Amino acid sequence: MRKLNIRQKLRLLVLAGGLLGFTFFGILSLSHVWDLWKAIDERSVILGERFGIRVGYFVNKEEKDRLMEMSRLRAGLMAYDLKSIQSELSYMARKLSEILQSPQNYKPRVLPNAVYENVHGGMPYVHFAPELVAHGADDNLLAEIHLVSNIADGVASFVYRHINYYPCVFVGSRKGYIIRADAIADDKLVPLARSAWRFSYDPRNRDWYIAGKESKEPVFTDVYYSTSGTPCFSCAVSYEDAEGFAGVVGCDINMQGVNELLKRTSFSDKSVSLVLGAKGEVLASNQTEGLLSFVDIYSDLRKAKGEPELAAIAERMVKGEEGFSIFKMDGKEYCIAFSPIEETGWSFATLIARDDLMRPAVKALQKSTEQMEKFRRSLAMNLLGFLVCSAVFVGLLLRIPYVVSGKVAKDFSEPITKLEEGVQEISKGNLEESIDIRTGDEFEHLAACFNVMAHDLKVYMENLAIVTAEKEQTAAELNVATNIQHDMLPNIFPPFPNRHEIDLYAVMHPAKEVGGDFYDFYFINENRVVITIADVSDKGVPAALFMVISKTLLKNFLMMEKEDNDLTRAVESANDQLCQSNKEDMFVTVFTGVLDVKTGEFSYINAGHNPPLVRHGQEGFSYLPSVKKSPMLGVMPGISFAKQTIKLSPGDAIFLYTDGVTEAMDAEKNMFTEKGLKDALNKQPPEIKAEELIANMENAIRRHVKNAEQSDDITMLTLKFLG
Amino acid sequence: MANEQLLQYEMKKKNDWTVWILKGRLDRTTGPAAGDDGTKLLDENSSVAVNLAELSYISSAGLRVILRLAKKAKADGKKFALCAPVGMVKEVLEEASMNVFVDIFDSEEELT
Repeated sequence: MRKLNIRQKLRLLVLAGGLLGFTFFGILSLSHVWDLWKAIDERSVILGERFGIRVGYFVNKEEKDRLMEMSRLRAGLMAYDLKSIQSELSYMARKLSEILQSPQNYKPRVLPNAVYENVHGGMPYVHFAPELVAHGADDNLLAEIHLVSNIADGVASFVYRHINYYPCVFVGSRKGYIIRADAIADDKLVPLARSAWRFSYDPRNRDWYIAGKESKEPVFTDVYYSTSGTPCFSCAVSYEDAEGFAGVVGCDINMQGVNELLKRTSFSDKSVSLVLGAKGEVLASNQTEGLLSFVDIYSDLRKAKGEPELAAIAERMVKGEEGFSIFKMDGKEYCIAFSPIEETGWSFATLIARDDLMRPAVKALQKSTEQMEKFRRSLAMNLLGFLVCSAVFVGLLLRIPYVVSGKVAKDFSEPITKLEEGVQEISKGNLEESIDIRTGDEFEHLAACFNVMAHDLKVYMENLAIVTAEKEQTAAELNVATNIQHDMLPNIFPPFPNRHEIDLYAVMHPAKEVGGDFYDFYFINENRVVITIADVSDKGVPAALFMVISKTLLKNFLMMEKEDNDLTRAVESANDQLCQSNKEDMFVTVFTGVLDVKTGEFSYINAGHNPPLVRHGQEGFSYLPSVKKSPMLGVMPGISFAKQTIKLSPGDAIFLYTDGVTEAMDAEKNMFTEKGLKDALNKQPPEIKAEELIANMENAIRRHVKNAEQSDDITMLTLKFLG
Repeated sequence: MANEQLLQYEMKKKNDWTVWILKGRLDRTTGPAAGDDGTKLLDENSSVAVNLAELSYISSAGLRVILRLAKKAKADGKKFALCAPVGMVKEVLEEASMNVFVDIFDSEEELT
């Protein structure tokens, strides 16, 4: 063996040591890299799953809330419709009692009798039970019938106003006569004039009479088949004369009306809406076939064959529960939300296939998985590069062994450790984590990739609500309450193309959140037009419901005053009724007025609302005198309201608004104010058309608020009296 | 409280009344918290008067808070009143005929 000199020995020693060190260090690094790869690989799977679970949870919660809100809203709408039927019947019962007990105030009136005449649709009539026909009515009874016939207009107005909802309204006396109006065509015989009923019908045998006789409050009957074979139900309440019980006033309500409401509030063709009756029967549905469609009133969803989960939910619905459930039907998963309609013991449900519901979430998940895949590919490439680099590096280092130092080792392993920590943080769900590596090499690039992924995931999570909302059919349904608010208002202009006495225009711009502003206008008879503007004191779905009921009640009570023209009584009745159904302590400020287009007389009640403005002739606008102020509606029953009257001349105009106008704020929170409104109005020439006036006011408000977000509903209505 | 700068309170006693002085704005932002605090006050005291002299703005949401408290006081058999409204607040209370639902005194002196 050749002897080595000390230098060679030393070099060999250093080389061997270096080699050993490098081998050791290399193996260490490689195992590090391997660990990192494994860690990222494993964790990305975990992360994917977690992300999936979070997305699923989020969407489920979001969808659950949305479906629940929808079902509550629609059940609420239905309940309010039913309540308004009840309140109208109560009103008629009170009026009947008043007629019977103060006969001196009423003139006798003679209606056609369906027993003796061929009565056709379009008019109220009277009918005698066989017993009365046989014995004849004596003078006293005839006088009573002529007296009670004063209710005919109320009965008729009731029925023709809700032609889809109420096929007929009737007053059945304990003495065997009935006063009735049917919603049928003018050329058709009314049912009680047809041979099937003409000589056999006795109101006192009818289910509604028996149900109503027992009750001083309006009650609903079960659903039954009407004489025309369509499913319907009745609402009935007793009325009294001086001796006590005198008869029952009631109406039939066609299920078609409920179906209409289902359609009106349904904004997606993928969701199923249905009303379940007190006996588990599907009463109304937007489906035309299958288990969830209307079959007949004797079917029972609680006994649905082969669908035990659906049957269990039907059971809960019949019990009057409110809830949300995910269940399987026909092998497919569905989400269902249901709410009771207490008035009738029914339940409203809305359901949608889970796949449809989850589609946006699945898409988001796919995107994040793709992102993760991309990151992994990039990671693999980088690690490969790193291995190549380190092999070259080790080779180089072997030639200059003294360079080996702790610093290199540290530089080498630190980025890997950092990356590993970062990945661990992220897999815990902490998407804020970003990795700071500035080595200028593949590690920095890797870290950057990693940070991009983390950021993207974070953005996905944050935007998921928006992603969900923007996708597919769900978008429309989210706005159901806004749509209802909007659809409730008359929005075809000009509203009365044949009436040349008035020029009327109105707008309502809802704020982002559903509000409770509304306006309304209608003729209550040939000469009298009502204008109303109102503001409910809250936002969201409850306010939207309160708005619906306020508007309906006001209109219904005002329509009943078409003859007597008692504005005060109508508003007082509406207030009493509103207080009854006001669980949320809401209130509504209302300005409502009736203009007689023949005389120009304008009577109004201002119930806590902003005073409107009026312009006489060429003068400027000024605030309407409100000497007699009245409180808002819905707070306290039994309070009185004060009516005021002014006289309008041809060319005069009235401008109504809600506080969203005067309180419209710019970015610095400066309000438009009453003065701003008045000034802007007074820049308008007197001959301006209603529509143009409103458009100019919208512009004036827009110029004031500039880019600031609208915080409240903005509602305006203007009426010009043309004479 | 997040809206401290928008609505501030001060408390004092006047005769048998607990006077709750509101300063700032009573609206949709400050209303809910004020409603909760007012409810607490009514739970702990038998006569509560709200001094509005330094309240500069009230919206319909603010009125709702007042009405809620008035209703609660009535249900619990307690005394509840408003006093010393000025400016815009006074106008709004008058416009809404709030005196139908709750006693309103022109000044704190009238609390007896």
